[in-house]
Amino acid sequence: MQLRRFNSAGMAAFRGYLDQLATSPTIAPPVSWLEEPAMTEAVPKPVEVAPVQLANREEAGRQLLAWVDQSGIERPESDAGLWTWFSLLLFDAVCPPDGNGVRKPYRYNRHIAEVDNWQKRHRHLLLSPFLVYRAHRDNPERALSVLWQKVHKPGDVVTQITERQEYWSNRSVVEAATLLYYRADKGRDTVGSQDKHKGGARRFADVLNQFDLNWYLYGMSAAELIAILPEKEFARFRPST
Amino acid sequence: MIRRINHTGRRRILREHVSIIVDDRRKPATFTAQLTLDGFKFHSDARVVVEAYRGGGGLWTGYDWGRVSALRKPPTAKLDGFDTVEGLLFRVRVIAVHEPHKILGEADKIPFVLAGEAPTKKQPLIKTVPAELGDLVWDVDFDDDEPVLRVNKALGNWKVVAQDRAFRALVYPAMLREILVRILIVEKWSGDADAGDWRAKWIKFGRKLAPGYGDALDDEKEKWEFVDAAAHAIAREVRATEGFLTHLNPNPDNT
Repeated sequence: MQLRRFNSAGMAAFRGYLDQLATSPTIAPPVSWLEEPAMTEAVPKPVEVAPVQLANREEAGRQLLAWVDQSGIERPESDAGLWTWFSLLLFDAVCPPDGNGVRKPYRYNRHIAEVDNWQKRHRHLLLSPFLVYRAHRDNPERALSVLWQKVHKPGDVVTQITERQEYWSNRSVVEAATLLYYRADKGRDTVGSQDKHKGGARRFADVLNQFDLNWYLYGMSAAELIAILPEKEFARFRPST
Repeated sequence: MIRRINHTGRRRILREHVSIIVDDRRKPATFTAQLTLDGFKFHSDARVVVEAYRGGGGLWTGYDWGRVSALRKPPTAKLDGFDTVEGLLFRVRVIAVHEPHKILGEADKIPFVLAGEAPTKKQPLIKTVPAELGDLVWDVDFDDDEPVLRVNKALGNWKVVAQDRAFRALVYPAMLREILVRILIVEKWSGDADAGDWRAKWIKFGRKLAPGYGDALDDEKEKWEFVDAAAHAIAREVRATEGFLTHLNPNPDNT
């Protein structure tokens, strides 16, 4: 199948499908719309795509970047039709059915990208890993704290770090989050990282907001940043030296 | 009198020391930042960074602007990361070298002047921006540092729509009501902020429209009355009924 993007009719129809799921949660994704000329339009360069399995946000970011890089789209992050089309293509990753075939899409903006809302656009389940992966493509392992998660369950660390571009595009902040909240040996987060207090990701974001008044975070290394975190509160997350 | 104490030790760089001109006649847009930092006694080696952002940091790019003693030349940079310049703000930071990463001075929320336009000290009370809003014509977004009026970009030329008399007739009173309710009823704002705080500006605007209310709006009933009075007053100001009638019946002689 060739990569396409939804036009306004496609966007409206897809929103309608999400609405339908509220009353008929087992209804199959309307995949024929992906190639429907009245609902979609071509992207600048042809790209072969397929509804692949995505184990986590890292795989999603890598795959989406590979497709988008070939497409000739100049500003993919601003292309709501593209990301909504991807949501339908990869619907099993962003809204997987449970054992009874029931799908729960939750909020629209998980599937229909709010590209103009710079704080909420990261709630799109595919645009978010794409942006993070692209920003850290030189070393995606640095960003594993926000890429290890399942595509449809990003969790609190992702929410806290990705709300401000100053943070998710900052190598030191993202690397510090990975050192604090990602267990490489287990391939998942550190216990307590979702904690709203006691050094959890939400507190990390709060502390960054305070530091940002006094310190130029973009100039710091991850080690320097971790060194100035409140000693006791973050002790259990600090990497052993 | 409400005061805010600066605990950070940072020097506040005033807006008159920073001039940002954005040129959006070509893509990507560029900006020129002229800084006057001589009077602040910053160390000559201190680094200078200019940041462009939108949406409370949701979209952000930082630019190295050289040193206090040797600012970037030419003082121009591309706004690569931004689709449009609508709603952009700028921040200037001076960063210590001898106390690594410490911010010595800052100017924040600096608006820009478009190339070819005369600078003005007047800033609109609310920014209007285009947005994907599904079937909504407009809404007020409170996710930024201050509220933003969003107009559905599917309406075509959103700037013309936002200036349309019928649009203003319907939207302005409702928007003012929503913002004042947010400040007074939802947030129960106490007024404890400096005059630059967005809530202080909106309450001041509301008081101008509805002057008959005391300084303290502690009583819930009085708050609602104030909101109502302000909404009615702005409707009067924009002659909302007349504007909307004109929209419904543009050729009254034909009826």
